Amino acid sequence: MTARDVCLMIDPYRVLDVDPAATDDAIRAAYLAAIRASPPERDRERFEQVRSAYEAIADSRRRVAHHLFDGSPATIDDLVRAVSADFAPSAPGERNLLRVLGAK
Amino acid sequence: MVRPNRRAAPRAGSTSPSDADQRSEHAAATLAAGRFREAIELYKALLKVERRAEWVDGLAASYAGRANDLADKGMLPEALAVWRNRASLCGKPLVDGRYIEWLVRSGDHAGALSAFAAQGDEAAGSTASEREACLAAFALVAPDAALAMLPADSLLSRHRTAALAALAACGRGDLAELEVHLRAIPYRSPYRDLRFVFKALLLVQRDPAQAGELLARVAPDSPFEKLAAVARAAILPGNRWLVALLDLDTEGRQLLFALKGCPENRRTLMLEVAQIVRRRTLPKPGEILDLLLAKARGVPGVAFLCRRLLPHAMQRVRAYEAAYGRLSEAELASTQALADAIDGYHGSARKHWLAAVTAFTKERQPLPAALILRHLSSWRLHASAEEPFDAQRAAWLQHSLELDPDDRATHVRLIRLLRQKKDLKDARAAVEAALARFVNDSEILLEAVETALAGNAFKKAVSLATRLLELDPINSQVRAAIGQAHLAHARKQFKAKRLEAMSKEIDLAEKWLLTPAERGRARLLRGLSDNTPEATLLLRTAVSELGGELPATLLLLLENARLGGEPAAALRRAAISTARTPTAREVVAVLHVIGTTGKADNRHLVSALRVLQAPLKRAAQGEFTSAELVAVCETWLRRGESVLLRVYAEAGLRHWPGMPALVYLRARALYGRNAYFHLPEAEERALDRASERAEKDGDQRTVQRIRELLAPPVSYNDAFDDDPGEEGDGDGRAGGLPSMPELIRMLKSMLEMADPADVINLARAFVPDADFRRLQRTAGSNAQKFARLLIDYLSPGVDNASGPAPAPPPTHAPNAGSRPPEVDDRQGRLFDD
Repeated sequence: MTARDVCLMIDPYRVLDVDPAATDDAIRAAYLAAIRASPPERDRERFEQVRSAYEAIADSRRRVAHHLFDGSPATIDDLVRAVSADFAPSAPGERNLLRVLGAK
Repeated sequence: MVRPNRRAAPRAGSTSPSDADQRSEHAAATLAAGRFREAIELYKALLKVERRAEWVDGLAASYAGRANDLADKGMLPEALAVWRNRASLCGKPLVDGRYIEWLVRSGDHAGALSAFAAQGDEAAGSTASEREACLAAFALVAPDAALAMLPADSLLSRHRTAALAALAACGRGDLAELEVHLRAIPYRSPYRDLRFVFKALLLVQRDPAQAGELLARVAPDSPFEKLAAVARAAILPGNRWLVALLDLDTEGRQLLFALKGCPENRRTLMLEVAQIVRRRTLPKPGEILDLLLAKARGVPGVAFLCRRLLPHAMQRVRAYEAAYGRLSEAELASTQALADAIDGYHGSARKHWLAAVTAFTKERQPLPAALILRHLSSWRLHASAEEPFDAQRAAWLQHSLELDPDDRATHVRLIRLLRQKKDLKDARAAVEAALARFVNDSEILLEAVETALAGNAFKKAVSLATRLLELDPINSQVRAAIGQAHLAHARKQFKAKRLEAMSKEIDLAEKWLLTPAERGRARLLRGLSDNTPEATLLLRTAVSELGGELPATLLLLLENARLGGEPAAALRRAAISTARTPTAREVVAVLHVIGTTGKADNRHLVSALRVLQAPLKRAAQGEFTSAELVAVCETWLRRGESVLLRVYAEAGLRHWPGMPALVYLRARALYGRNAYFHLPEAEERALDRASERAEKDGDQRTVQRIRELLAPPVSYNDAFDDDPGEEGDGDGRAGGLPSMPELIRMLKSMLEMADPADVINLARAFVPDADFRRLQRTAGSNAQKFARLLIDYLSPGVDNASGPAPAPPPTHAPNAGSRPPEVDDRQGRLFDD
């Protein structure tokens, strides 16, 4: 992978929706799920994006290379993902509902 | 805002009956025109004269209109005050129209409930159920004492228990129980919208589409709109929920955060991030780092992003280290290297990459060190003039394999690189190392075969090829490599007049070559090697098998040229006439032959194309598609066949007048790459038009090519170099050097317009070293004088043929026709037969 390649790449971890510490198996599972969700005949662009992302981080050697040579600028999506990756959606909460309805 | 026209309201004492009628009509017209404030003043003035019922009604209507206007502007206390004036001054019922709604909206829920309880059937303007609906949200949160004011049969009271139970179930996220309670809320209930809103709130994550459908059924003026707005924000795709978050009030934001699972201590940060999302512009990397390090350093994903941002904001390294600990020497060096590379400081980047290699090795992390070396070896920008880059690349790759020997691709790269730089000893060592690690790897074995062939170790190559074919019986590359090696040796035997040995070689080649085209070429060689009737028959058979007369003719001429034969004799023996006009298909097939002909055969290809020039020119009138014709032209351009290029481009322009690519190609054929010096005005205009059309067609490549053709050369190299990858501009001066007078004119105008250093640099290529140094010594440190001396030195050549001829520019790619032959000595020491 050249510096030019990585400069043009969207964060592969975000594309595959995996944690930077994910294992080979977890990354492969995420890749297969993403490919199933976006087969090439349905969304060619997304398919290529997913494939490129997987090629960039498929194994530990590539992940080390990505870490070393990734000079791509961060995007707003990267920022949002970083600060919200650990969000765990939850129930609304009775108190929250009541407060929206006007309870003090 | 219409200000009341106080002059329009005359004093009461001066009113006559006809005057009052006029003023009444004026007040009615003002009311009808929606100027409520002015109408109120007019009716109040009239009522001071006489309390007529119609004027009281007019005043009440004016108050109502004014109150509605104020409420619509969000001025609810003012609207309520005006409404109360309507009741007190005009005797109209207070609980009427939108009064309860305004009380609810202004937060006076108790007042609204009281008004609702006190209202009678006389209340007009809205139905009882509408008024109840206004209060539904408040009824859920109101204290029981307030609800006691409601009539016993009120729907608000009757369905409240079920609604509260549903709310509790929704709050817990218990969808099953929620459904049970929602079933107890009938459609006519003031709580009916909860059936959609609560369910949607629980489906925002697992089924946003269904949640959206449910929310679409909520009435726009629903008392539960605030809840619905939160649910709508929650189902927005991607980051858009953050933009919607900013449009919610505090309570709505907290509910949305809860639905998204945002921890409480991160909500302030998320609001800042939401502002960034709304602006759609990411702050500078340093500013993002500041924000994250200050407010989110403990968030798991943030450390990764901060590390990624660091090369873009190296001044934050200390802040980063304060948050996440010190970077190791290797990490710091590699981060600095990446930062330098991003900023385009390649020399510094290389220095830091190499420092990182050393540090990673010291830190017992061989993999990143190896990866950096591989990265450097594929990076051409930092090659320095003092250091042969290929040697350095090979050294880096070798070092990287010592650190990480398991990367097969690097073994292959190294072997190829060493073979390309003819370092066969090291290439063989690299092959041995690779084979030791990847014993039965077909790609490595193929490289081993190629390396053995390059070193003339033919028997070893055959043995390796056999081993490879056992693993991969249909490997066409290795078969072709060995087969072609046999054919090359057969040619050598032919030239040494050892025909029997040659025949054996061809026999062996035929065993390896599988495709009809490859075997056909072997038969061509056999047919050309003898003059017997059998050989002639074989030659003709081979020609008929080689995919059309024109491509077969080209292959025949190529093979004949390799053997050093006369083209005319070969064509005669093969019964080929060049008088025939080939078809467009044959020309396209010829492109394939040209594309697969190796560089070593370049001079043979040039001579073969020269023989075929006449039929190829005639074939330009054939039925090509525009894409085919452009492809043919591009091939002629690459080959430097400017005559053929012009003929085909002009033929194409007759079919597709003004086609930008063909206009460009025709100009290249006529004026070469250095067209700036030769283009007539009409041609420039044609190119301008073609560029505009290409721009419209989205053909950026042609736009760029035309721009380059019309631009003056920016440097000496640009003026005289050919396109990278293009093999020359063919015959004639077109595209080559400017004439000597042109050169002198250029130099003089450069001297007038620019720094003398430019003149010196350009003239340097045309003046022999000894003379250049002599003139330099004469001029001393005066660059202007030196430039003039150089021009004077070159000037005699303009008028006098005996003057110094321009030396060939050092970087000029030779034309295809004049390229020195590449000697294929692969078989030089092969076989001691």
